[in-house]
Amino acid sequence: MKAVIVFHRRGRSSWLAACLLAASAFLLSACGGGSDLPAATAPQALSATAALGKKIFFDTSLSASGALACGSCHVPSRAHSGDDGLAVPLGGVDQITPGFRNAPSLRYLNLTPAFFFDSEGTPTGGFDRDGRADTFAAQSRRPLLAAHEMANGDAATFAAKLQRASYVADFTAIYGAGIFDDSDAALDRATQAVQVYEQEDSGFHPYSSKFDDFLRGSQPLGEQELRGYALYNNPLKGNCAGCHPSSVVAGALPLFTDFTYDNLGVPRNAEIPANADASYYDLGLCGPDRTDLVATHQDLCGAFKVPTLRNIALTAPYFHNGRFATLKEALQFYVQRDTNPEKWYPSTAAGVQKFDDLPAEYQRNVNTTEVPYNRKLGDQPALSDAEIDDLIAFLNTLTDADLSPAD
Amino acid sequence: MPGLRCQHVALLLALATFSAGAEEQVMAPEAFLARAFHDEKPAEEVIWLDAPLQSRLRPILRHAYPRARLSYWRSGRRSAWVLDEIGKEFPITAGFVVQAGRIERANLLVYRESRGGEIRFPSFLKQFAGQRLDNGDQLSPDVDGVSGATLSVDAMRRMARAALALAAAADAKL
Amino acid sequence: MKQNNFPKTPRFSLTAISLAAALFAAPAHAAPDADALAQKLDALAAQVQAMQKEIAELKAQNEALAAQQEAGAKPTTAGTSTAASAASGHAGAATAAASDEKQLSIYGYGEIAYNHYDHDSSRTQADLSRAVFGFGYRFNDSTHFLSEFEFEHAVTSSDDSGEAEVEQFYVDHSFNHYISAKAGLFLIPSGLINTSHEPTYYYGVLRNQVETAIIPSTWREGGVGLHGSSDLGLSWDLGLTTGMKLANWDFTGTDGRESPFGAIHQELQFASASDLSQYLSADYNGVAGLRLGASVFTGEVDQSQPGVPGNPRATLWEGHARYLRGPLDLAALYAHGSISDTAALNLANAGQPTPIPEDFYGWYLQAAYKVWQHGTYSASPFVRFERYNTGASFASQPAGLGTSPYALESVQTIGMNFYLDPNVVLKIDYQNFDVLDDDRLDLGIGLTF
Repeated sequence: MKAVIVFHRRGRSSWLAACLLAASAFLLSACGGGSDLPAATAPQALSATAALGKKIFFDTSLSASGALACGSCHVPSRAHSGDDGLAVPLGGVDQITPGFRNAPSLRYLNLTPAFFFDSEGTPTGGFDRDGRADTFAAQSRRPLLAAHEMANGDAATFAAKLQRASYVADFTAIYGAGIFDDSDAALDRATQAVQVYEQEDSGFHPYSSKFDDFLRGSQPLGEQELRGYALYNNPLKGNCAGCHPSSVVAGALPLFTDFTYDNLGVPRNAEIPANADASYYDLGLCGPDRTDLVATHQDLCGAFKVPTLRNIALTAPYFHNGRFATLKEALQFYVQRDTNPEKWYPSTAAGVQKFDDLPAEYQRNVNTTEVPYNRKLGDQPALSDAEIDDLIAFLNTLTDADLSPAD
Repeated sequence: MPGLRCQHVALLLALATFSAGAEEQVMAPEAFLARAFHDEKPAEEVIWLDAPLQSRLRPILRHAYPRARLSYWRSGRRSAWVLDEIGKEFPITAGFVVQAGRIERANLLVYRESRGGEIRFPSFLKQFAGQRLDNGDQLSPDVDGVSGATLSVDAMRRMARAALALAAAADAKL
Repeated sequence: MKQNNFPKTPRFSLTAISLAAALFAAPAHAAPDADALAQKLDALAAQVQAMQKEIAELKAQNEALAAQQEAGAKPTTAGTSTAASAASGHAGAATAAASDEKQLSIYGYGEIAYNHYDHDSSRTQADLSRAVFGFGYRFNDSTHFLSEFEFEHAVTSSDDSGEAEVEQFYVDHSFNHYISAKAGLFLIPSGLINTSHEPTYYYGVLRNQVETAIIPSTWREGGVGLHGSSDLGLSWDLGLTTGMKLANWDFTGTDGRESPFGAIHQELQFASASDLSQYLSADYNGVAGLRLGASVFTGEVDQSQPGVPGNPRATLWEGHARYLRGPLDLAALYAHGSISDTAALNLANAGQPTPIPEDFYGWYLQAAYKVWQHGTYSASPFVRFERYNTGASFASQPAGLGTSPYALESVQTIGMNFYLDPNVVLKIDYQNFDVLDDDRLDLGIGLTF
């Protein structure tokens, strides 16, 4: 009898429990609301250090020629890349000394990790086309001193120029009146200030392109742009996303680089004066600028950093050696390198000299396995000319809103 | 933000469901005995699980019954047995009424396993009525299984066989 | 207590009678053979004394035995005999005795598989697919805890492909035999295998494709649930749990093509929980040997993640039937999954190899027959026919950008489970795939305890 009474009471509490749970489920299922991708970054007032860095960035008086600044080769209106159309920029004391590599865009570098080998041994990250600088600051030190760039030669020379700059009071206000007692420290602080500027100023990473808006759902892509985008992603067609990822990952807008390195076998560029010496080769991770890997990583000789494709329409000429003046040409090279090598490499009596910008022993390092480089002589290229035009239409959507479209 | 708030309310409600308490007794042993003996009061008897009896139980249960003696209830030639057996993790308690070498009824009394509770359903339990042991101490006829309750069904089978073996031993002493 | 008092009464009366007899006998027959009588009385008294001693010894022995088995019956053997303690006293003691005992139980299961592929022997492999150990703990008769810890593929480290996972970890509390509640990480009641996933429960070395690709067994979520059953044979389970996260969809990988829900379920690993899911399942066992059931699991999957437009919802429903009649074991299952509102997200990943499907489904029919049994040995050959498609349709896209449905896969499996014991099984089967180049011979061993 007792058991029965108890049972009834428990029965009632059970049904109450059931109702409560059902109510919870109803309430929770009614909860909702999504969140958006990060908006385009709006320009905002710079900190004192960043403002100082900006002044240094654009100050031509800090160069030996008095005519060159960081901003000369990294022009904001060209997505902080060169606007001279040259394969390699000019600099030096006389301002006509040619450099060795094409000036890259400085945009969207703020999330670049320092150089490392990942768990599978893939070289990843780092600044400069060979990744030898770990930070913006380390990277910016080189052009301030290099003979073919701002040509200061040493820290003392640079510091002397900085001491005469109109904004030197800003510098000492931040780093102390005694900062010039140590030229190395002064150079170091100057590059720090440039780094803060490059990281802080939203102009270096505005995420304001049409494609960003497409991902945000606020602007559609046109038919041709979408076709090009699909070709870009398609692992059997462009396969561009293989190295230049285009997906939103963990709520972050894509950077269009996986920070790795690749050896594409880009043809030698005769427009680079250094190439007049037939024994000179620019081998990227293996030097001549970078020297720490050549002894141990011969398989990486000839590999250069995979750059972001944001603003790619504005950063001609293309590749580390500026070999291609137009995007169309660069893309045609990708898909026709192996199907029509004669279009890209010199021919001699022995035949087409493929991968002519690499010494014979490093030619095997060239990527010939991944789409679209996995073709043979006479195969159909992975993309037709019309498809390349579609792809270019898509790449044009990666141009930041503050920049005029490519001409 | 409103999402967050309504989730908190819901979680509190969900937690509140755990404030009540009870047991998972399927059928009280009194109720089992009352049904087994139609409210006539059975005598409580004890059977000693001596060596011969244990050696018969061991192949049935796949272990000896871990008692030296066992109480059961008797009224004439009908006897009632309450046994325990682990299905997978925890013991299942079941009651069996045996008359003249056949199971008259089987009831699930306490179920403690996390799954396989379907063996409490009458559709399963009523299959035991009329079962007896064959020469190999197997159930005859056998019961059909329950999908997803293999081990619980197996435990019930073993207990039914043990109850029949125990009843035979107890009846032999009358 | 009764037992302690009971034996005393007769023993006392026996002594009293003897004494009375001795006292009253003497004056009544104060006669010549008084000496003989006295002698007899002395002898009787000695006998009584001896009997008293014997009875006392027997009683002590009994108590000792009882105490011994009482102790032996306790937890180490996982409480094999709560009923015995019930039976030793009154009937009502059964549950009381059980609820006094705190009980830890340890269990586990595992399987090793060998797969030999017809068309590519380089894929032939042997794998310790799963080693799972679990602990259960009964706090009392109505509240218990269950857990399972799984190691997949033998070696688990940052450089290896094995995984270490918590498969179940929850508390279950029963209010009465009609209704219980659970909270924690538990298995979603979907299909036949997910909640009964030990290798001894299913036919074939590998779990069937439908309950792998469509229902992502072993599928668990964190949350709360209510479950119970009615005497008519209806059991039910409903709850509120974490759900899937569409932002985890990998458009470049193959996971989503192999198992759409398997690719985005979260397994309570920092699970995004701004969208919770609901499930409901019901099974009817009202006819001996027959089980008929169905379930649905549904919830939004954007989890408020940036870059996931709209309000996509994932839903999985399935229906299943199983019929166990003597040696015959028949099973059938149909499962259908869908993810809504994926057009914009697929377009944002146009051209990628693995877009999100809108619909995917599969079904199978299976028949097994226990042809032989001897002692704990038994042999059950089986056949299974499956069809499934992990991308039966895709949300429509602008012209030229859509994805064609995948080919409908069809798998025929024939094999046998050979049980050394109901809990130890040797398996062999051959599987023929119509689309995939996966035709293979499988050998396996599975066990559970």
